[in-house]
Amino acid sequence: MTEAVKNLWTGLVVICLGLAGWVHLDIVPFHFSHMPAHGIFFAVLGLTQLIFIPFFLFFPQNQPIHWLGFTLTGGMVILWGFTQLGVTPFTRAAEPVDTATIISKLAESIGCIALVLRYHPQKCRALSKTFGVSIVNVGMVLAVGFATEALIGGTPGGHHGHEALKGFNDPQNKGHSHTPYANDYTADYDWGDVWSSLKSYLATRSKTTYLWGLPPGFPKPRVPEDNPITAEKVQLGRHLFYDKRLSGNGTLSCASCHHQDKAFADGLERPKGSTGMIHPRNSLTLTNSAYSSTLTWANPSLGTIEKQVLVPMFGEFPVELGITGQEEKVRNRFKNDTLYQQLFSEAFPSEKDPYHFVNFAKALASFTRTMISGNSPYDQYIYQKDTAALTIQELRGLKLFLSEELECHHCHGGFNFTLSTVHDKTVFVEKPFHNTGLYNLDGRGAYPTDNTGVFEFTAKEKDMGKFRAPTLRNIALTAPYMHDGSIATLEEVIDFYERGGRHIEKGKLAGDGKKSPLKSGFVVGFEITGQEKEDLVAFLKALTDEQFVKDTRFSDPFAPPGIARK
Amino acid sequence: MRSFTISTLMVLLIAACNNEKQVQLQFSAEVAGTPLACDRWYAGYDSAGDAQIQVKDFRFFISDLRLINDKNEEIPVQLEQDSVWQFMDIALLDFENGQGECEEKGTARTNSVVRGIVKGSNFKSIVFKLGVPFEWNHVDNVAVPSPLNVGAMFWNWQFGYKFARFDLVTDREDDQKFWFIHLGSTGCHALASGMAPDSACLKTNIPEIRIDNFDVDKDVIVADLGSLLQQLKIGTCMSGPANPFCEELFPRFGLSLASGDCIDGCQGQTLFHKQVLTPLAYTND
Ligand code: HEC
Ligand code: HEC
Repeated sequence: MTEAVKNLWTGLVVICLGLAGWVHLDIVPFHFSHMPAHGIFFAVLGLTQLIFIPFFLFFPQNQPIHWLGFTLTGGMVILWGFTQLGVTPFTRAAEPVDTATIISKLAESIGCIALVLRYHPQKCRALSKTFGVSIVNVGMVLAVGFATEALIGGTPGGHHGHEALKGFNDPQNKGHSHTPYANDYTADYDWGDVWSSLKSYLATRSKTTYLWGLPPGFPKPRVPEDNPITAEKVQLGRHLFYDKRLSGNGTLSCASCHHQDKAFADGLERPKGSTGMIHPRNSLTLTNSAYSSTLTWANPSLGTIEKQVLVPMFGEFPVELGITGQEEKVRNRFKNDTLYQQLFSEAFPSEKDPYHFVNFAKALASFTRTMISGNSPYDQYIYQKDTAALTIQELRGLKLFLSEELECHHCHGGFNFTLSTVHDKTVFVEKPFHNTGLYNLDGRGAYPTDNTGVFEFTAKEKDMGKFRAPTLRNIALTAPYMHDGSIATLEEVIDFYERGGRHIEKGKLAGDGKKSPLKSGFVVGFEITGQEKEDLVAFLKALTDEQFVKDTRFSDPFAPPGIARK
Repeated sequence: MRSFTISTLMVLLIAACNNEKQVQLQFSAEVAGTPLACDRWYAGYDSAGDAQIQVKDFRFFISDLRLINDKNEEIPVQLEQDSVWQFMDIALLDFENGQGECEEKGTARTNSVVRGIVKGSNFKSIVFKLGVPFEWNHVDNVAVPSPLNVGAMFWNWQFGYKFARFDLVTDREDDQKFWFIHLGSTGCHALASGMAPDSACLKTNIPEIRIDNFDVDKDVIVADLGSLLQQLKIGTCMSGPANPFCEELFPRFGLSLASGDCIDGCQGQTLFHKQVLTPLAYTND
């Protein structure tokens, strides 16, 4: 080979790598916008390809540098081939073949061939070796990719994960979401955006990873990708939760209907909203809402607390906090308060104007998500192996509860005493709803019109009266029971299940729920003795977690220390 | 999909190196020859012969899958580990799609295939267990991967799994309206209910199913609810040791209700048979 030919090949390698490196840097912002890890991957790749060039020129005979060269050219073409199969940590579907792809892959292919021609007399062997080494390298790149994804997070499935903010499309808040996760897949995302996102990401990251301190036996809750939990958001959420200024007319806070001493229920059959409108349903306990696969009594479409909390904030039928129409006023109350200025800027450090309702919801949801209760006598017995924690009577009750005769566990099964449970390892999200035969107004299973359960959302006959089985944790504290608070005590709840449906003899609601054709097959009635009933009640009471209702992490931050506020 | 593709590639790679073969065992579910579906009525499968039934749930676990070759050697099938349908040597087969009657407990995805690799060739029989082995049957089900964390398949009663969950609804009134069949180990002694047993359960209730003349590539294993239930009295059986309906039903799983073991190698079971593969009724998504 003449010197001139050698130089030609060397030059080609340099040009090709330069081109590929430049293309990769150019597509960084775009990819960063859909998933930070993907952008970072391209940034590292592009930089490596460029930085490689001087090394290559200065140490032309160095073996490791050759292999690196093969990886950065041929190896990347092979890696790209893999992405066309859908195998990358970043995307579920193959990336489209566009100009950038064509230029960079052509450059890399030519670069690879030039490298072989320049240095390897045995061309074929060199090429097959290149192939082998590249495969190994591709494996390593994939591993690094997965690790980056695990560390940095983002929307899994990248290109398909832009639904994150659906449901938050409050016109007030357009254009306010500047977290790296929340942006749409926009081509006009530039390096400035990358930089500010990265800064905010690092700020959140370095601040706090929330320490759950989960009770023994409890899995990690699933947290939405676009609202990673931080101690700062939880703090902000806790303040908002107890702050009456969050309601349109300043009379009500979340805590008005969710009292800590009642495991965040309120003791009423049905609560009143800020304008006096009666809510058709009983205030739910917030115990372990973090694990609910669907939120509220019967809404199959509410899958996250983030979405759910918008309902009490903006709902008009019924009005709860009544913010609708008062948005600016409510926002400004917090925007102009020095305490909240600090709380908001700590919770959302990257945002210039964080006082929008998506952030209110994110903070409230983060706080609610931390209300995890798992230290009842039952837990002490089962998970903490304290054999003295449950009495003989409570153990008898537990046995009855888990028996095939009573069948409670078919709906209230699992560590959270409901099958509507989801956690970080769940693959199949189960969202069961059941008609328990509380009402049967017309012989065909009808429920009162203001509480038709899932039917309200689907309008399908078969969904009439279907409700989510709530957790039974802290159940002794959350009377009255059922979606409309229509059963006053636990004893009566058991009577109801024993009969296999409720018989209302007269009045507007008359009807025999036992005969409802829509009633679940797991509520068929059973016979137990008075003693057994007492045992079962004793067991249900052993699900009360006294520590939870006193836990200062969930208490009113505005109350003077030591004094519980009503 | 991504992890699936990767694991398939890896399996292919390993298989290529080792004289190992990738197998995809096809299952199907039927009611006397008609494909099983959640929104259909089936007639005539009880002793009176006139009741109609509809399926509310149809899921079961299999484990310890082996193929038997012409030299009568049992070769275990190593299941692909996808932690969705398969984990360790356990696989979940799921024929309910969460629609219609199956909505109450069901999930949308279904599965009719068990994937794995096996060494050798010339297989003529297949053997598997209908159930979850003791080591995995009594685990904390939120701490294990799918399919063992599917809540509806956990059986809090014995702190184990429902090996098979066949929930049916009939056109009868009152006590014959629901017909639930849950197979699982019973007599599991634990310190208290709600805890894992401290020793093996009295009644294992895990049938071992053997199907001869089985062609791995061409045959499908059919779980036929029709032949399981034929001429049976309608009545819920949740493996209760003294349940009269279980008394009748258990031999059809090949089991003795009294001992919880196979009678005569479970040969008398009527749930499973093989059939030449026809186009798939169910797929893995
Ligand atoms: C007027 C009383 C009232 C107010 C104020 C109120 N809630 Fe509720 N909350 C309820 C009722 C009633 C339900 C059940 C709703 C339903 O089923 O439709 C509920 C349900 C919930 C749930 C669902 C729990 C679960 O596990 O499914 C969450 C979470 C929740 N509320 C949080 C909040 C937050 C946060 C606030 C403040 C922004 C708030 N609530 C304000 C009455 C109230
Ligand atoms: C078919 C499923 C199912 C079975 C079986 C079942 N429950 Fe329920 N449970 C529910 C549903 C659904 C609700 C809510 C019903 C409503 O409000 O309309 C509920 C509500 C309750 C409540 C009131 C919860 C609250 O916060 O108000 C208690 C207590 C309760 N069940 C205990 C039991 C006991 C004890 C058993 C066994 C005897 C049992 N359940 C069996 C589904 C079931």
